Amino acid sequence: MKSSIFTNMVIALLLLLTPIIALYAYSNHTSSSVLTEELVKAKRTQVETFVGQLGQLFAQYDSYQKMLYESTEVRNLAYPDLLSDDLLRYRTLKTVSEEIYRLAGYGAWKGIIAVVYPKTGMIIKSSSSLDALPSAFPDKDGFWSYQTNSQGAAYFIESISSPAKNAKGDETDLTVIAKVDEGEIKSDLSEMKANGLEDPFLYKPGFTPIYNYTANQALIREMLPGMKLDGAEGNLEPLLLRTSEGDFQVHMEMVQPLGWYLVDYVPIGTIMAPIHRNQTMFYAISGMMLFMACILGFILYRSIRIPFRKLMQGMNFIEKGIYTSRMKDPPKGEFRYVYHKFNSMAARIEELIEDVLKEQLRAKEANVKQLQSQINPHFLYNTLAYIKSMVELEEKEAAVSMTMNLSKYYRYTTKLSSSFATVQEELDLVANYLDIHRMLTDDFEYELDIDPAMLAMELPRLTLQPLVENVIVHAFRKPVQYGAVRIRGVLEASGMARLSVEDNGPGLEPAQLEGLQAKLRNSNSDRIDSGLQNVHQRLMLLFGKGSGLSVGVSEWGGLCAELIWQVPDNES
Amino acid sequence: MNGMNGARRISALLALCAVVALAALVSACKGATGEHAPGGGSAEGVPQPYVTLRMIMPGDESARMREFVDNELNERLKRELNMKLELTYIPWSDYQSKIELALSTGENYDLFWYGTPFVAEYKAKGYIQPLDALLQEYGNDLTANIPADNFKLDTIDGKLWAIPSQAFTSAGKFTSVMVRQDLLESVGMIGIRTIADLEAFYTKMRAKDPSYYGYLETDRGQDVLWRELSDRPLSFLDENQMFAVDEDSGELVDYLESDLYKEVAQVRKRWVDTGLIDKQFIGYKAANIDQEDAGKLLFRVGAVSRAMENLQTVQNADPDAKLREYYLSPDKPKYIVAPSNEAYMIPAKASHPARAMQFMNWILQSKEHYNFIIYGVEGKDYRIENGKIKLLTNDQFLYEWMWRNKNYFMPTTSVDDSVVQDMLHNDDNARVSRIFGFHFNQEPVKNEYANVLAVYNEKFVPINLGIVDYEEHFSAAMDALKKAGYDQVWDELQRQYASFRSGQTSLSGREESE
Repeated sequence: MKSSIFTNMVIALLLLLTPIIALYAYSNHTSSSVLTEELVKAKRTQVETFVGQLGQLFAQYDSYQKMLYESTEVRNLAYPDLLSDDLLRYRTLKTVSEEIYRLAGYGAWKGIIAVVYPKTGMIIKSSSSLDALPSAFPDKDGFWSYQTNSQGAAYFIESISSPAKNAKGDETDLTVIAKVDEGEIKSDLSEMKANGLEDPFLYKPGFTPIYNYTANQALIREMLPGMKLDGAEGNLEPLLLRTSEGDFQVHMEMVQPLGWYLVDYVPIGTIMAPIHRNQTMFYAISGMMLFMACILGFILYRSIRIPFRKLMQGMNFIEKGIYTSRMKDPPKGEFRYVYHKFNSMAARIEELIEDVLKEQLRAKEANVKQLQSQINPHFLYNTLAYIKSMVELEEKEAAVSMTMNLSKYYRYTTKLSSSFATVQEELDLVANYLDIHRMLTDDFEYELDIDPAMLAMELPRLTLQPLVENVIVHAFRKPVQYGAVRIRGVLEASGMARLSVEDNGPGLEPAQLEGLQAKLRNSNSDRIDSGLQNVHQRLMLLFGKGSGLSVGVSEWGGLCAELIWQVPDNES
Repeated sequence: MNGMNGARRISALLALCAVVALAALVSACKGATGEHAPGGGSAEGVPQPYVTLRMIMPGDESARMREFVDNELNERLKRELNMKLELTYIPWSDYQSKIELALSTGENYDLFWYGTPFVAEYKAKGYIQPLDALLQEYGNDLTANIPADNFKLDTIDGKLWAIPSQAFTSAGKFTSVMVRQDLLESVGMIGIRTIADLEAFYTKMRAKDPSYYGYLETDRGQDVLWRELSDRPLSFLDENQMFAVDEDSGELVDYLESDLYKEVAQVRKRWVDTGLIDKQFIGYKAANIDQEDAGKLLFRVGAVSRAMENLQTVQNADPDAKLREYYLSPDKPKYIVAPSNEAYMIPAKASHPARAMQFMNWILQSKEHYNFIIYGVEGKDYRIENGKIKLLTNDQFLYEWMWRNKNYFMPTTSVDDSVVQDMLHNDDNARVSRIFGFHFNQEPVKNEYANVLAVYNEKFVPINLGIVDYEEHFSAAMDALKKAGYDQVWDELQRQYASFRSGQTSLSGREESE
């Protein structure tokens, strides 16, 4: 059983499945890594975009500041002597103040732009709020710096002065200020949060981060020590930080004009979600394929392997001679057919073997009966008395003839070597038998009319004799007239051989005839009551159905018993 | 046959497996992507979809307001109206030009406020849309809390063009003067009744502390002086202060060419010369607000309730500050030109007009809404003490004066009862102005009107401000104005006013005969 169909098929299945799963695993791995890369890149691009926007807004205020700084009107206002005319001064101030409103009114932010003239104490600003400008301006000119006023409100401020202010206490004619409140940035961060960032905040080492309005501040504070902002040109690889709330991928990008970093963190779970989905799908499909392979194997096992094994067992039983073995619980499918065939084959074999055994038994039985009839003392007394009388009468020839017949008869009936005999041999025996009886009683005569083609045919020994004996014993027991026996053999064109024994005795009543006929047909049992039944059974067993003994009414009104058998092909 | 059945069965089984596998995959994918159901937890009856309502506000946004809108207010508006409010603040000094720029360029704002006199102009220019249907559908609480008469004010050609958001006393609006009462008292004065009182207040205060400025609001306030300088009761007809009506005779007055204008110009010139108007700041329109906010302004034009409204801001700078409004010649009658000067308009190009109306209605829906949007979160930004609002922050939310309503009004604890009484009794014995309900349609003379305005700003404003002499400059200025088409505008105005009056008298005549 080393390479059964089943194992071959399972191996084929595995061979088919292995490269598929391997290929799938490889492509899944590739797509996962590409996806990871893309996700990180996408997140980073997103952060970069927002950083760009923030930077843009600050840059916008830079440029407004410079526009004002370079404006002639703005400068002229610093020198009251230039504007001695009230109307000119009115118009210049109007122009400058309108310009400041105009600039401050554009853009997304409500940053504050102001021109301060320290010498005249004049301040033109884009917002009238009391805290629009801090009480003290930066000590020296510079880009955006982060400050906190006395009330604790924080802001980014930048200033540019003429002449340039490089240290505290430097006198200037005018200073242009741009200021963005922390609230604007918080609002912007909240907006970013609404537009796709996870929880953005601005951070610079040494300062309190600027959170969005709904930031998870505790979590961010926990992350801060882990963030290494080692001054690399604002372009940082995403960090992986482990916190009490899980693992996070942290993206940082410097907002160039500020020197602060825009930081956004994403739970690994969130960023990896598509990949996990991908992997889950991979495992699910692989599992499904294996599962289906197992199911396929199981189906093969159930529908081929098991029935086949049962069949083999059945064969083994038959081989060992246990012909009663049958396949039970036939499976569905092709094997049901094979099981049926096996069962009918086994049944047939059993039947045939039984037939052979029965035939042997019957033959023996026939012999025994024959022997019984032979050693019938009357028959022997009668013949011996006949021989004595003939010797006394010196009828030497008759005595010799009787002795010869008797000896032939006994020789034949006692010969047990073969269970078959030719028709000729059977006829010879019958002739001896009839001759003996005719010598004893001399009240009948007989006639043999056999198709010569039949003479060499074989049939079971002692099948004809019981018919003839039946005539002598029953038909001629109380003779009313001179008896006649005719033995006729006919070979029909259909291949059926008929050997009939007819007498002119009283015959049987139709009812009796019927009864005898039925008895012959139905006597399938092992018990054989009469010689006639024995004959019928043996013929039937040997030549098949259709063969056997049939009784009817003879031409002379007596009984006609007929042996019918199918001539085997090799004999015809 | 059995064999075939078996094969079929196996293939069916395989197909079943495939289906199961597919279903598992599909559900796995769903499980991963379908976690966030859209629009989670929207309440029933909330309008869809979620929109951003863009609204223009005048002035400067306070830090707390910014935070309040971003957080508490928008959370609530999302829940109740499924919208987000986005406010754009435009400084006072630049409000008119910016708003007109926004309206004419079709920037898609959904709602803005301005004074009632602008309604007719914006309607004529096609900037705003009629609101009758929207009010009918979404404005139940507006009509329930605002008197029907106030709506007439914004009704032109049979259609409503603005929501008169304020429903309170209004007679003589912008003809009073608001004074730093604490400073007035500090120099031994009790009240203001005359121009001389104002000048005395300045002189005494200046002597005591030169860091204070007298009067910096130069773009309006001529009618404050009229109460004393004119023997006829006049009301301005237009926001640009060119034309007026005589409340006694009902006649139109060509103000610029009148002696009254000359007298006003001379008072202003005197104020500039004495420093009561600081020359340094003329031209810087926000200067008065800067200085008022800084607590350094002695007086400015009042607006019936300004003493109450501005107290909060001025107390930021000076906790002891007190404000009070006075009318010059207080015994002369006051006129109700507009029962509500506040008009909320929806631009013609608004993206969400229905939402804008729903939002306005929401404000007046209940006292709780009203207090929430005007004073912030109860317990955090304000407290109610003895029927008054105790402010816990000095930051402004939505301007109280915009939506002040008789049904919901509660004074703040910081305001003196006298100021509240002034305001509540402001309209006692007031008369309805002749021009109530009159809207000048500039359309027939719009080019001339635009030219006239340009010349007026260039030539007359310096005279108004007192920085140039009336005698020297008036005739040239008037010539330029006439050249620009002043006469045509004047004629058209007279024609429209005459037809307005005839309609009015026939109406009142009918009423009387019935």
